[in-house]
Amino acid sequence: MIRASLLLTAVCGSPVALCAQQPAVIPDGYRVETIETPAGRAFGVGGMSFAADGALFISTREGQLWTLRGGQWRLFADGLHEPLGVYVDPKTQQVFCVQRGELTELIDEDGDGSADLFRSVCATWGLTDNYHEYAYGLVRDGDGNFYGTLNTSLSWPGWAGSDKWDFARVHDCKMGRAAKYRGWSFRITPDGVFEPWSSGLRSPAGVGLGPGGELLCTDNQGDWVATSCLHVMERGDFHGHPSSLTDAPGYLGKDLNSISVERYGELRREPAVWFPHGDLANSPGEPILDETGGRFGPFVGQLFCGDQTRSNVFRVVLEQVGGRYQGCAINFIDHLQTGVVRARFARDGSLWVGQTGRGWGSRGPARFGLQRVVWDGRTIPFELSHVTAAKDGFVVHFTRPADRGRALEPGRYRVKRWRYKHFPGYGSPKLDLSDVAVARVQLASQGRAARLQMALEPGYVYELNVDVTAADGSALANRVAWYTLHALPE
Amino acid sequence: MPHQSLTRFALLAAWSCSLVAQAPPPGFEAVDHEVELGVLPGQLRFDQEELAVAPGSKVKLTLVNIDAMQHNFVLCERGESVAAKVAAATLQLGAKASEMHYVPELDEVLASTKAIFLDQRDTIWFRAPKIPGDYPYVCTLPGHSFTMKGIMRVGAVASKRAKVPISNLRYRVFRGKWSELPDFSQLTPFREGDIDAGMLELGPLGERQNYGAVFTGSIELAESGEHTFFLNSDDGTRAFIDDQEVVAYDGVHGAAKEQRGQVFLAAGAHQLRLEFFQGGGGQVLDFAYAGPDGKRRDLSTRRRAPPRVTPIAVVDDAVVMRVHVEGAGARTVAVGLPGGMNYAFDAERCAVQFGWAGAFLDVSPDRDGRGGRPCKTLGLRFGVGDVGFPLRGVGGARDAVRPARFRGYRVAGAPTFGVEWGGLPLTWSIAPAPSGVGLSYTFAFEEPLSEALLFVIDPRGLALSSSLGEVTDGRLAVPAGSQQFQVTVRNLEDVR
Repeated sequence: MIRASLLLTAVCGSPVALCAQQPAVIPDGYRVETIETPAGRAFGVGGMSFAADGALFISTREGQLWTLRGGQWRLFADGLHEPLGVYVDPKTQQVFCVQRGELTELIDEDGDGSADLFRSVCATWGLTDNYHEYAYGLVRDGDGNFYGTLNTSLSWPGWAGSDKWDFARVHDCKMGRAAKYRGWSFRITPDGVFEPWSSGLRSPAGVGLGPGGELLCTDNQGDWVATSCLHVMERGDFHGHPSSLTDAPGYLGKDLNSISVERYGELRREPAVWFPHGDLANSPGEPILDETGGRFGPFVGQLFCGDQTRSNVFRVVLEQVGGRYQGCAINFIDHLQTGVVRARFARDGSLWVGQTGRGWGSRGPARFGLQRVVWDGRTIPFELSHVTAAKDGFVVHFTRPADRGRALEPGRYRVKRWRYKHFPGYGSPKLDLSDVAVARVQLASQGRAARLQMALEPGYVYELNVDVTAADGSALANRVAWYTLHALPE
Repeated sequence: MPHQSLTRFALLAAWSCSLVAQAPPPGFEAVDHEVELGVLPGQLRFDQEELAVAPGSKVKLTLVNIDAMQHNFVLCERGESVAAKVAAATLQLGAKASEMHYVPELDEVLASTKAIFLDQRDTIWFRAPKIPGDYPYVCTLPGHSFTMKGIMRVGAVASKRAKVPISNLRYRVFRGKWSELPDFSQLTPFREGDIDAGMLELGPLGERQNYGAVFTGSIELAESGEHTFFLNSDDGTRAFIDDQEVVAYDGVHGAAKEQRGQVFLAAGAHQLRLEFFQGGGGQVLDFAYAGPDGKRRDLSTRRRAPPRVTPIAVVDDAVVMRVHVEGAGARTVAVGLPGGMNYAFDAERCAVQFGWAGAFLDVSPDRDGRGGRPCKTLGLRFGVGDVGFPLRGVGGARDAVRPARFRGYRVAGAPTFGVEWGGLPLTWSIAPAPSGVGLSYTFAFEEPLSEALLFVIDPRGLALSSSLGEVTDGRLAVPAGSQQFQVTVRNLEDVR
C-alpha cells in the first residue's frame, strides 16, 4: 500500500479572471469560476500540481509548462513531448513531469523562473510514433517513488498515424502493443529505476491515490473495457486488456490469441467501480481525493473525477467488502465549459479543474480551459452523499436529513441493475438489464440514511434513481447513484 | 555572360516607416507590373515562388512582411548558383550587414528591397531585364535563402484577361477581433491584393482567425430589373452595390442560413463592396446573385483550404522541442538554431540523426485534432554521417562500442546534451557550422581523459574538420588528456 505524500497547497493568488456562467447541474453552495489562461496560447491541460508556496504548475498537451503565481502566468518550460502529468514535490520543490518518452526533472538553475536543465530521470519504457502511446501521471509516494500509466498503441490500420500498429492485437481488438510496457502502470524509484507495476490497462488517462493510500487509475471504455472504470492497482495485477501481457512474466513468447476470452475474464482483477457509458462518464481523467478537511463541503474523503467527453465532474466513494474494493459513483457538476481531465485541490479548498476538448468530442464547446469550483463555506447542499452495500440492500446516505414522508416511500427509489461482459469488442452493452423492486425503506441517522431492502446479486451494477427532497424541500441536484457490487457484506 | 543593361535603382533615400506611401521615381508613375510579394510566417518562404514579367517592363514590387523574422527581397542575375553566391556574400558583410539590409555589393544583384520587420512593407520600382530568362530571387537574411527563394520569369506574359464575374477584384485584410462588422474605413489594412480570377474567395487572404476583409470590384449586369443577392457566411458579412447595402449577415455565427436582399438595378457596370470578418473556428463566404431572368450566378468560390501549417519560428534563440518528427526516432529532440540550421537528436541512441537547412518545424501533426503525429521538417534535409553515439574505445581488436545513456539537456544558447558513455559523463553541444550547411559539435569531459578514444562518423558526402587535426576515413583519434574537442560536419552535396 502506498502512503500519500503530504499535499500542501495554497491559494495561488487571485484568479486572473472570473466568469459567471454557471454549469447546468451544480449543487447548492457551489459556484464555478473560469480562470483566464495565458493569452494567445493553446492550453490543453495535461497535468496539474500545486507547489508548497501555492503556485500552480500546469503542463499542456501543446508541450508547455506554465506557473500561475500571484495571478500571473509564466512559462516555466517549453518543447516537452505532450506532458500529461506534472508533480511539484512539496518538500524539495523539485518539478517533475512525465512526457511521452521520459520522466524528466525540470531544473531552474539560475532562478529566473524558467527551467534551464531538463534532467532525464527514466526513459525505460517503449515508445513508437503511434500517436496513442500516451504516458499519464504523476503520483509520488512518501518514499519518493513515482507512479504513472502507459497507454496501449492504437491498432486500427490507417488511424495510428504510424506503420507501427499491428502488434499484439488479441482476438482482433482495437488497441495493441507496439512497444514495451504499453498498457502497464509503472513505478519509478527515486534513482530512476523503472518497475512495471500492473498490466491490462487500455487508455488509463488518470492516476491518483485513494483514501487508504491505494494506487488508483481510471480507464476509458473501448476494446476489452466494457465501460469506463476505476481500478485499484496492486503490484502484479492484470486489469483485463490482454495486449500488455506480451511483457508480463509467464507470458513471454506466448501466443496471446491462444488464450480464450473467458480465461482473460478469470485472470483479471475487475475494476473497483464501473462508470456507465453515456450516463456518467465516457472518457474519465484523474481521480483526486478530497483532503480539504471540509473546506470543499461535505464530501471529505471522497474522490472527484472529471470526464473529457461529458465535461462533468463526478464523485466516487469506495468501500471494502469481503476484501474487495467496490463502491458508488455520483455525478457532481455537469456541463462545464469543456472536457475535464485533471483536477487538484488548492489550499483554500477550491477544486481546480484542467480541461481539454481537442481530438475527441466534448460536450462543452471550449477547446481548452481552466476552471475552479468553489464552495461558499456555509451551504450544505441536499445530495446523495454516498451509497453503501448491506446484506439485504443498499443504504443511501444523504448529506442532510431527507423529507421523512417521501423518503419512506419505496416507490421513490427506482432501481435497475445490469452487468457488463468482458470481451474484445468496443464497449459492452448493458446485459440482463432489469428493474429491482425495493421491498421496504427504513430511515436512520435522523433521516440522513435510507435503508433500502431488496434482493442483491454480486456481479451487477445497480442504478439507484432517488426522487426524494430534503426535509426543507430542497431538491437533489443529482438524483442517481451507480453502485458496482462485487461482494455482499456478511 | 552578356552585360546586363538593366538600370538598377538605388531606390529612394526616404526608406521610412513602412506604412507611409512611397513615391515612385520619375518615369515609374505608371508601371507594367504591380507585384505584392508576401511571406509565409515561420516557414522561411515567399508566398509566391514564381513571378512573370515582360522583358524591359516597368515593375513595382512591394514586399510585405507578416512574419516575426526580418526579411528582404533580392533579385539576382540568371545562373544556377548565383543566388547561393549572393547569399554567401551576405555572410561576409559582418557588422555592416544590417545597415546594408543584407544586400552585398555584387553585379549579380539586380534589385533589392530593404530588410524589413514584422508588419512592415517596402516598395521598389525597377525595369525588368531585357533578356528573357529565369532570374532567381531570394531573401538573403542569414539562413533564409535555402528555402526562401523564387524565380522571376522574364518573357512573354499573357496580358489579356478573360472576362470574369467580378472585374478589378481587390481585397484588403485587417487584423482585429470583433463580434460585429467594424467601420473598416477607420482602420488600416495590413495587407492587400488582387484576385485575378474575379471570384470572392477567402483562401487568398491567408488568414484563419481574428481578421476582417473588404473586397471591392465591379460587376456587369445584363438586364435592368429586380436583382436578388444571396449571402451566407461564417462569421459576419455585409454587401453593398454602389455603396447601397443590399444584403447583410452580421455577427458571430456559422454559415447557418442564407440571407437574401432584393434591389432594382439598371443594366451595366456597378460597384461591388463586400465586408467580412472572421473570429475563430470555421470560415465561409458564399455570395451569388440572380437577375430578372432568375438564373443564379455565383460570385464566390469555395476552394479546399490549403493544408494547415503551424510553423514554429526560430528567431533569436534556439528552439528545443520533443515531438515526433518524420523519419526520426520516437525519442527525438528537435532543435532549431538561429540562422536556419536545424537537427534531430535521438535521445534513445544519443546521436544526431540528420539536419535540415531552412525553417524549423510544422507542428500541426502534433497539435491538430488528437495530435501526436510526426511533425514535418520545413527545410531541406542533409545527412550527418549518423553511426549512433560517435565515440569508441580503443585498445581492443575492434572499436569498442560502449552504452550511451541520455542524461538530459541544458538550454542556454545552443542546447547542450548530457550523455553518460560507459560510465563517463560528458556534454555534447551542437551549433551551426561556421560556414556552409552543417553542424559543429563540441564534446567536453569533466576531467582530462585517462585513455585515448576514437570519434567515428560515416564520412560519405561530408567535409569534416576538427580541433584535433584531420578526420581520416571518418575516424579521429582523441588522445588521452583531452578535455574538449570540436568536430565540424559539413555537407558536401547539395542538401536533399
